[in-house]
Amino acid sequence: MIESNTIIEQLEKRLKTFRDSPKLQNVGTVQTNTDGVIAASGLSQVKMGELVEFDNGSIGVALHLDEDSVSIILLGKGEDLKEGNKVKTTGKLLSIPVSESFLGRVINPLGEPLDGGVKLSKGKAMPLERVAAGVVERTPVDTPLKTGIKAIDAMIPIGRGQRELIIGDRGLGKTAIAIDTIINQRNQEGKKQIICIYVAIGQKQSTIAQIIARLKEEKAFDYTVVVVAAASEKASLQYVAPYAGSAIAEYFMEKGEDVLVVYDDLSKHAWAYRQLSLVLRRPAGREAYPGDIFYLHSRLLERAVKLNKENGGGSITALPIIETQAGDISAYIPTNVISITDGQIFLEAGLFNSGIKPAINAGNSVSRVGGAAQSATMKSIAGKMRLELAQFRELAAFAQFGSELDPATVAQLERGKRTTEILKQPQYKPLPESLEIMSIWAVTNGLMDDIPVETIQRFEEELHEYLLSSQKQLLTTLSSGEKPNETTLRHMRKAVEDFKKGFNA
Amino acid sequence: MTKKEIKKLALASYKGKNLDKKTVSRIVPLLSRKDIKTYINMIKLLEKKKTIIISVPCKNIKATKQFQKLYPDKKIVYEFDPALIAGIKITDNDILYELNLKHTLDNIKQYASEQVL
Repeated sequence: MIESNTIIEQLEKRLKTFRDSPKLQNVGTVQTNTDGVIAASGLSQVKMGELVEFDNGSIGVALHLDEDSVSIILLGKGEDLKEGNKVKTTGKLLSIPVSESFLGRVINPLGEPLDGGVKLSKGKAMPLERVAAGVVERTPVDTPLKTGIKAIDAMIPIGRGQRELIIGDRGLGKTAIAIDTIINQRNQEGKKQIICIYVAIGQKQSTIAQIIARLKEEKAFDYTVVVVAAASEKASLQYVAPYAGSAIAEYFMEKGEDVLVVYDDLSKHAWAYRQLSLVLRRPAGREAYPGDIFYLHSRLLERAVKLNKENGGGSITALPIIETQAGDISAYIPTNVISITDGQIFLEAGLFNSGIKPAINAGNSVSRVGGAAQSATMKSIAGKMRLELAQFRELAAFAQFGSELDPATVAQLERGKRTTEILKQPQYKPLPESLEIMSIWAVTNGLMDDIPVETIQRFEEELHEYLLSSQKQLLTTLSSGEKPNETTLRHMRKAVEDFKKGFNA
Repeated sequence: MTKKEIKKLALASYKGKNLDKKTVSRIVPLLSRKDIKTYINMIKLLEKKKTIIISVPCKNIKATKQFQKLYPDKKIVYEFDPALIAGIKITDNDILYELNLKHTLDNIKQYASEQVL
């Protein structure tokens, strides 16, 4: 309980540093209020992107400067703003007050809590629009960000500071991959906790509520910030939401932390920006998007960075999500974001419908950072798997003709089926790296060739249980990140063979 | 008619510093209803640029000559606003000079509330 004396003392201390100066303000008058965009006269000194305040307390951002009028996008309530209302400049850019108290909270892009919890303490004002770190301040991506998803960690590894796009049609598991990645960042015993930020742009509120509930259930919410600009929010809030997420990430990064930001999804972000641009009467380009739609996403994603030690060593890893229509990755927005990011995880409907989940098309997916973002252990184990899978896909198409196949081809096909099966993974069950390595090593070294394909998943599950209960030392060795030596490989083989003796197929 | 053309007409409606009634009555019949609205808004904006509004907390204003010297080319309008408590507020088109006690007290309140206890 704070006493009144303490309050008075603090107030007096605060007011000692108060310096009053005559203030010059630039004011204007509302002319029109249309679709969340205000046209105001006056404001001759307003700057592009400057925060303005209306006389009802609402705030907006000046986005269009004309000779006689200024167009302002409303961020707050604007239903009661009418012609004649006053607006004034603030001299500030749009910023969000970030503090440690944001962790475990659900907020809107202006930093206001949405979860009904206690008021957030005032923090450092982080500008939503900011120039990304320069080349000199960066260092190459060399530390893995483990998603806990075998297919990704083995074949499309993501590093801290990378931008990896998750792209696919609706309902194929894009958000599931992002959520599993967030969940996998828990239990980092002895290691630096990765802060996670999930930015929901234009999503249904029911979906967002489910995601939050799942994160809480999986004990992944305490290190996560959820920024929400739901489908029912103004286009202006959906437009600034990803930048708010980036600003929050930069706060933690500047403290030397590693941060993961998920933008779900940037397609809806582009739609919101298109809506704003059309209402602002900007010239429409391809598919009615404004001419700077590329810049909208490039300046956002360039803020994902790995800083060098001199600048704190923190990082921001970005997982933008793009929704395609009918699997068309050559459309305007998908191609834009593919060219910006450092790789993509492509989800395919055909794979999803045939039961392969996560439905990752390893052929079209790539990580441009590649092995630099993998531990030596995983690199040595998973190296040949991608090639084997590619060969399997070619052979599988050929084998459909039903002709007689030689034993080597049959063996390759059988191995491919088992590899495909081992890469399947249930939702919300990310795996530690040691178990991923054991599963992948076992299948690529033929130790599962005699296990029926239908029982591979049960085999893997029971193998993991066995390893966790009886082979902890081996798992610790595999978690070290070093390339396994002959002794370790022998132990791995012995562990799997011992397990197989007791496995009932 | 474009906005630029209407703006030219609005500027041409002035003789010296003042609005010329004859010119206005010649222009208005030539404009459509929508253009008249734009024309009127332009005139209002031009009038606003020529006018200084000085808000004072008390009705007895002693510094009128000083204000005339400060703004020799503009029309000065005095407004009575007791909420200012002391000092003045000058509105020069879209520039606002807050030189009053109310503004200072508002600033103090905001400054003090910037830190949560």
